[in-house]
Amino acid sequence: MTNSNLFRRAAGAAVALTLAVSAGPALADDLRIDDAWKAALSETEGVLDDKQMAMINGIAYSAAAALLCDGIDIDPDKVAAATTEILADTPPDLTDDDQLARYTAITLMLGTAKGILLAEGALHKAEFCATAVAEKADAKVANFWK
Amino acid sequence: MQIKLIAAAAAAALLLASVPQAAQAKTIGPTGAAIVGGVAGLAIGAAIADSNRPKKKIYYEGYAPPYRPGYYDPYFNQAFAPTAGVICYPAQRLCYNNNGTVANNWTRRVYGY
Repeated sequence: MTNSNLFRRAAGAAVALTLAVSAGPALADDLRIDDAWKAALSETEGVLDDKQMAMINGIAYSAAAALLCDGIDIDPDKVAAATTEILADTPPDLTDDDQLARYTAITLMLGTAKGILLAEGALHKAEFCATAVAEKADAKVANFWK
Repeated sequence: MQIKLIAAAAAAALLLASVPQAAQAKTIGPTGAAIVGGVAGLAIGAAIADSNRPKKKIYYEGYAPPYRPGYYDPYFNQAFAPTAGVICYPAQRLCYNNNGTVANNWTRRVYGY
């Protein structure tokens, strides 16, 4: 693990400790499909680190928004670069079978995340797309859209 | 339609069987060979097998489980607010706005990508 990863994890833990909403239930106005995420994520915990999993979610979210929202299109070059970065960062000394198992798990994870986010977005499409359009307009934060 | 598909598959199998191996390697390539050879299918089958079956999972280097065995639920429900109106879920590595929409830009900030 790199120093920056260590720092990120430590900072994340500190934020979690100081700003924790605690291990209580999700907020009442939270529209995420909890059981779908829990079933999917419990199967894949530990395959990707925090940053990689967040990137997978970012790609999945961007793809879902591109399918649901007018005026938003995926940038395949950005997605390719991010996906390659995740896939290429493998643990050392994997066999071919292990490489294939990891690749398969990650691609299925991406498809699953995209599917759940599509469902969440479709359930409240107007708000979902309004947020996506606003995020796309934020020049300070990179995204996976054209 | 099914009969036509089966016939097409049989014809393809015959065609593959009749092509010398060196020629197959040139025309199919490693990905195609993994598909035709069933390796890719096995990997997908193993990945989507129900959770009662033992699975081989490839963990990232340095992974340390953030929860005790059997305690995924409380871990899954953990949340924190990096700013007012945004909730992030560490198990999911994703943040949401209070109106329920994904807070993707905050997710990028929190997880540093």
